[in-house]
Amino acid sequence: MKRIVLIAMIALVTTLNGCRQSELEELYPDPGKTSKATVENFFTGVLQAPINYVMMHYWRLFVVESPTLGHYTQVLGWVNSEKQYIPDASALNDRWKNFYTGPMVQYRELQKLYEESSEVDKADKRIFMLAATIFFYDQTEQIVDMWGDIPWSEAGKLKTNLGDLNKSLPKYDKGEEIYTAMLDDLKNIADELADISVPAFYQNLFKAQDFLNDGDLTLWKKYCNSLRLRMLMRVSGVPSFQSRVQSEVAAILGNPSKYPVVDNNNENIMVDAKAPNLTTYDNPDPGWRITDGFETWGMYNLAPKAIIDHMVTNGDPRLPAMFDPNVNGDYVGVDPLENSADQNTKISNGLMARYDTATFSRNNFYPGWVITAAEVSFLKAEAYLKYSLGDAKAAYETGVKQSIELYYKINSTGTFRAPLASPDPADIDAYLQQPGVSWDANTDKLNLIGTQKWLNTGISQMPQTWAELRRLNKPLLQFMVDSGSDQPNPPVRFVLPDTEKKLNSENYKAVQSTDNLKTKVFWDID
Amino acid sequence: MRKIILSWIVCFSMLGFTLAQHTVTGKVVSAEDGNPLPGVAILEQGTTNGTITNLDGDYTLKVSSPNASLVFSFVGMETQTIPIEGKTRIDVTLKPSAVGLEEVVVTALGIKRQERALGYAMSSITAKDITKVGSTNVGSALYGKAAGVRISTAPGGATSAVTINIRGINSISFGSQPLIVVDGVPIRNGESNNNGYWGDPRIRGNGLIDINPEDIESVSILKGASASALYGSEAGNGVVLITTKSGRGGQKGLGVDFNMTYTQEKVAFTPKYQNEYGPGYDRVTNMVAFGADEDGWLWEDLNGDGVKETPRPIYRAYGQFGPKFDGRQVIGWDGKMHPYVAQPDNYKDFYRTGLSGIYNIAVTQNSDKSNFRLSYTRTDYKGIQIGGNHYKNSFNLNGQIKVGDRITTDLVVNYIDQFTHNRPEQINRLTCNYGGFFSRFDDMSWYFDKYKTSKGYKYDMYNASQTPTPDEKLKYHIRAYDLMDFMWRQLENSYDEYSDRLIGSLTTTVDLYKGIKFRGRVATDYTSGYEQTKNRNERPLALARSGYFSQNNSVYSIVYGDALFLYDGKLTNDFTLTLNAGVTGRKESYRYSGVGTNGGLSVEDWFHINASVNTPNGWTGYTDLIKYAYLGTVGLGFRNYLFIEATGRQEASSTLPPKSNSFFYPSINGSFIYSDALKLPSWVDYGKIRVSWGIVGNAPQQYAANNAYNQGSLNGIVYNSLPSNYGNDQIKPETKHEFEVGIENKFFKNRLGFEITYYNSTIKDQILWLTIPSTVGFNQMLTNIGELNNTGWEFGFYGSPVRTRDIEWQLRTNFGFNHNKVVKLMEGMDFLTHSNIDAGAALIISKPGETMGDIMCYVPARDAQGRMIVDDNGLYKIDFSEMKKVGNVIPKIVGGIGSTLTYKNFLLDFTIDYRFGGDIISLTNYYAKGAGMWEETLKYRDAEHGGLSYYVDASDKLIRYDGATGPNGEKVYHDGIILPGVKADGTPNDIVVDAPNYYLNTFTWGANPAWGIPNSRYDQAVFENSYVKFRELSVGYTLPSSLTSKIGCNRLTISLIGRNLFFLYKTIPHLDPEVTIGSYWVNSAIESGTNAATRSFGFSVRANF
Repeated sequence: MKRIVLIAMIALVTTLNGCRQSELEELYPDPGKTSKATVENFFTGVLQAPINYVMMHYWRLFVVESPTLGHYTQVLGWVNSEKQYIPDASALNDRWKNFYTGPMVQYRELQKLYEESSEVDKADKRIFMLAATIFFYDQTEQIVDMWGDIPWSEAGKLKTNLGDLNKSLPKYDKGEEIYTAMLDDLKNIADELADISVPAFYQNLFKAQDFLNDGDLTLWKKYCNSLRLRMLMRVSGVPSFQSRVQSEVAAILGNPSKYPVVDNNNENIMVDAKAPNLTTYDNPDPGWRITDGFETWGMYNLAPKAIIDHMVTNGDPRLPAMFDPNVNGDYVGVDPLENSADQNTKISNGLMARYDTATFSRNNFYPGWVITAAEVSFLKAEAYLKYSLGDAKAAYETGVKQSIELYYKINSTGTFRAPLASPDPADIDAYLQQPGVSWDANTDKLNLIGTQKWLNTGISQMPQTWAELRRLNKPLLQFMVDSGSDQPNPPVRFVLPDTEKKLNSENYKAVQSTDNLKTKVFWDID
Repeated sequence: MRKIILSWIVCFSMLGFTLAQHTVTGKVVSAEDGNPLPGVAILEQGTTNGTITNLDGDYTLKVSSPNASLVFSFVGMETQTIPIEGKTRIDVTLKPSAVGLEEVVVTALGIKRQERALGYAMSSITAKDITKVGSTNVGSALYGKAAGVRISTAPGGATSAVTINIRGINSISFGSQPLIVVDGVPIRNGESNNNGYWGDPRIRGNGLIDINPEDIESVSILKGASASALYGSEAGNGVVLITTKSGRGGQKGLGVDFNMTYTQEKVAFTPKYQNEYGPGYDRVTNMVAFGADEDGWLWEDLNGDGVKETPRPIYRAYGQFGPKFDGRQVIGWDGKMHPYVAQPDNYKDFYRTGLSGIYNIAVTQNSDKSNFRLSYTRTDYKGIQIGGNHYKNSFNLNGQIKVGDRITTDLVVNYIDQFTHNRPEQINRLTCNYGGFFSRFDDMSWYFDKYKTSKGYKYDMYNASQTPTPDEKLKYHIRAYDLMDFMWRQLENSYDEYSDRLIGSLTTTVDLYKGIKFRGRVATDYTSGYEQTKNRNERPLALARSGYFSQNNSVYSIVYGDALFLYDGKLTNDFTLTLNAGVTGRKESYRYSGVGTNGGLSVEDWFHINASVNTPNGWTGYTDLIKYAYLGTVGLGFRNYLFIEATGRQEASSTLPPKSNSFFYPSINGSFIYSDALKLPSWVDYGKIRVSWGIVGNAPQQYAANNAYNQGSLNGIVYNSLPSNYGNDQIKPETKHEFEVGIENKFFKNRLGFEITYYNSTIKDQILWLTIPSTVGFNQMLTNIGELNNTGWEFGFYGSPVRTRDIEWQLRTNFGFNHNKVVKLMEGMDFLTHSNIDAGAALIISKPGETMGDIMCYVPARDAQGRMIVDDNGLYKIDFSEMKKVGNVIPKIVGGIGSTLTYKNFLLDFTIDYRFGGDIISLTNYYAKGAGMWEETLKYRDAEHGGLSYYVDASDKLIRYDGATGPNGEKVYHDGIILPGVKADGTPNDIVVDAPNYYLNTFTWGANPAWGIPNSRYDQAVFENSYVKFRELSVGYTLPSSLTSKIGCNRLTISLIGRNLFFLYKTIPHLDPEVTIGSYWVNSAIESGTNAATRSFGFSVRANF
């Protein structure tokens, strides 16, 4: 009997042990997730990662950009309050986190998948890598512009380092080093794209995966060179970059067949708001709704005095497409120099104009701006002006016309009201002759360019609006000085999140002394 | 059945003539002191014929035969059976029973042990305590019955989850529910309602509440790590062992039990509303924003003569600061004229009277070779919330067959078939959302009349342009559209849940050789669910797409098996040895798939997937896990008064990374019965000291540790991405290391007893989603990092202060203190945020070195002398520079008191339970105060409620003034407040603010000056949540056996019962302290509108044939 017991026991233990260990391993992974991924799917993953900051997403507007950038650029009317120039850290942390857990880590994974591919696959799928890199650099540029020195070359590597956290804590790279690296790389990419040939099969695959440019290689070239132009002009005031900027800008603008840029509104680099998932008004995901981004609290669609005054004074054709008048049918913007009680009284009495309901807040198809023809035209105008490379006035006026055209185009996609008729060309010409607009009537040409840049990217691309305002200081905006605060004026940079200070503290020490709202980003010299 | 018929015959024949042929008399005395024993029960064996001794210990009993036997029984004494053998006088001496000596209890894995050998605390609750007041589930029957065990029942009635917390909170981020084991089988229980209203608006149940209380024999609660160590990673939160009733040990032959319980549920503990003012805001808002007159009246021209002659209040207002109720005729939003009076009961009228009926019949059969119990229970339930109903059919079979001398086979089958229609929805949209605030003027019947049109569509707003019933539109813009939406959902839409659950086990025990036994068990817990959603078309198809249909199937199954070799024997005369060894394994799988319409129903109210306008949406998925373990125990006993036992479990689990998926859980415990080992006074019946130590675990959530890619589709383009959280291939289970020491004593023939336990547990390797700098590419990483400590004392006392022949009074009380401390969290992080309330207005956090669960919010600014600073607007200035601690959510003491009083055939039993300490954020209280709903918001509104007088000067400033009219003839108002405090310049505050503005702006949603909410005070939303509740009451009468035996009934008891009767003490105003839902510990501290609490009354009949 004892033996039977013993045998039974041994049998039980061995069978359990044998068959179970493999089953334990089998059941460990989540069946709802995949362990397989491809370069092409991750390319789309890189494009998708920051989609909330490309499209007019509720969170982007209401939480992150409108209360900070929208306020500091006066593209939104804002009620004064104490400590108003100290940005809400949690909102900005969200932007920061999205970059690193979004484009950054997704791009790192794409790099890894690409590197692990066979040489043949690498050659075939090269376009995915090039395109993703352009887009990733565009995203990086925005983060450098807001924070200055950031972890970059070593960032996003926790997975690469198999979960070793200490090994993965990244050092801080200087903003100028990051710009240099990206500009170098983008030049190489531009050259490579200039005569790239993608096998037809992979061309089709690329087209299927690319929701930004629909696989159009020419648009990718234009995106690449337009981005280079933007970045070069942004650092154009930095002494160490000056010679490079001049020669590269000349090379790009002097050779449009090799280095084409975005020339008209049909070539805009934009994410189209398509149904069912990229719509912005009746999106299935309530977090997307542009309406809430503008209309919640009745606060985030208020017209700013500076823009309204410019538009009203100069008869800007964009005015009816961009703003709804007040209860009396007048266009009046919130005056930033008024005290909050007076501001509030006027707001609650319906005396303030607001961002247009049809174009903006209830437009199901507001596109996600990446680079527009108008922006490129203004960059050209500035480059021509600065380096005498071409007709600055023509570029400037083209930019103004393109911006007007674009806002009417977007207005026409809305369904809230019947679209507005396009403005009469005569009205546009008349606008171009106004004292606040006319190239010939003004000596400060840069102020004209700056003002039009500000009006163009305005609320649609607030990070660009803020960057160019800080770089050019044109137009010069007036703010209520918050004398009781440590930060009496709008910040020129954002501070790093607590998670960096506390959890990446060794590396943080290198930037600690400059981590405040007053230290300018390296290209902001004046 | 034959016996019943026989009894009937016997009863009837007794009516005609007496069968008694023999009379026995005698005296019963105590062996200890020779004194007579009153109240001793004497029964003719095998019959229901009996009597009890009188004060002198004498008795007389007529018996049916001189050859019968008599059974003498008395509490605390050994029962004696004496054959009559023709004698007419039988005197008996009863010996005190050796209390606790031979009690055998079921411990982990169904292993039976002598109670005295246990080295750890275990609370046992018997069948009687579970069913006496007709609780619909076993969980809510456990209130106040076990020390250190906190029960919370979600409001919503029989279909709502019951959560159990044993010895505090043992995990910061994961589940806190104990393992539930029914007849040795771990069953599905699960967490519930942890994602707030938007995560799931309905009040869910959990697996525990399916278990039928009528079938339960006993419930044992294994609290400490040593008691539950054999369950390893499942037992971090303790174990509840449920044993169902069997046919064993009962009377030989066939027995029948019939029980029924019928109770009525009514809404209880409703808020104290003010009934003096109707809808409206402050004077300026009423006038400027709504065009009302100074008193808040709007005037309508109903007869079209161009004169606005008919008044109405602002129906759109959520505030209740409008015109005072004066009975005048006003035009209602339903288009009818109504007197302007308050509706004091409109909140109650939203609810209905609930009913609960439980009907149980059980048949037992007992013989030497086999026994079984078969039971059927029908539960019908209708809760207080409109719309829902529920029924449940439970079958329980518990049988045992002996094959030969060596083999015993046990079969237990529980089958539960249930249906729930429109289970209660949280009332969050009505009490924590201004869009659902109905006014003090609103008659609930107006809403019931109006939420649906005569054509069966949803109500039309006042401004609806297209409707088939234009005459039925709401006349004015109102506030509580969400209330009518709620009615539509609960009364017109349909959400039906069907489930079939089978919990079954087959156990075979074989006597192998000289005390060695083998026990093998296979078991399953299998639930098949089907859910159907039918949302009716809200508008005619021609106007809008609406309506929805979906169906979802799911199967949840647990397959469990264990095999054990058991040995119990003597080593020498002094030493006994117990050895158990074996394996146990469990596989859990979940499968679901469903389909739903997309874009509305193409034919009105056609509920089928074919009615989908667009391509239907489908969903499906599955999860699996397995666990198995080798385990063993070694126990040594010395002279039956010193025991030591060690256990070990080596467990492997598929939820852990394959590299390290196996862990060992040891324990050791010992007990010393010093009353046997030492010479003690004779009044000490029993004394035991016990010590134990053990380790149990808490496994990470399934799939949390695994790193894989997300896959998504953007308008048809497939993409992959890495999640923003990084798993961890090194993760280990959380481990609870617990030391426990206790003492148990019984005195005076068990008339007094107590039990005291001290425990100290450290939960190491807390699994946390560690916040990491996102520059590494991820926001969080799963890590074993935190450490928690719980220490506490548990006390249990019982006694019988009165014990005479006719009266026995038993009292029981227990209570537990728990002190919790977060030993460490993550390096570099000052605290961990668990919950963010109202967009950052308040947080629940944990800080190292302190008790977990601090409530943080912004509080009024104070000057150097600590005086509160008042803003220019007359309201307190809030210091937004940092949040301050305003409370902590962890309760300090939980406990209960029970009392049973028997007087002859009457029984009075009640249970009180209590909880002290621990705060709650009550958003219902907070918003309602801001809206002027509560009685206390009458304060300052007029002179009689303490309002100050003031006039408004030309610059709209409020000037304190006591005259009849202002200096320039201005009108003087009487609803002013000057808040105590100082102005910014340090001088005493003299700024007058009117009462409506004070309430509307101080108790309002959100706290952020940038949003124009600079004066809200969330510290006023925090309340201590202590209570003493009179939980259960039952008054029973057992019919004399002489009467019941005539209908073949051995015992028939009729009781009046009541549950949740009243509070002796509570600190949270207007609401029930148990108003929160969700099994995660943080959720139980946030009240955001769930359902009203109830009080139930009813009766029960319990009969045994």
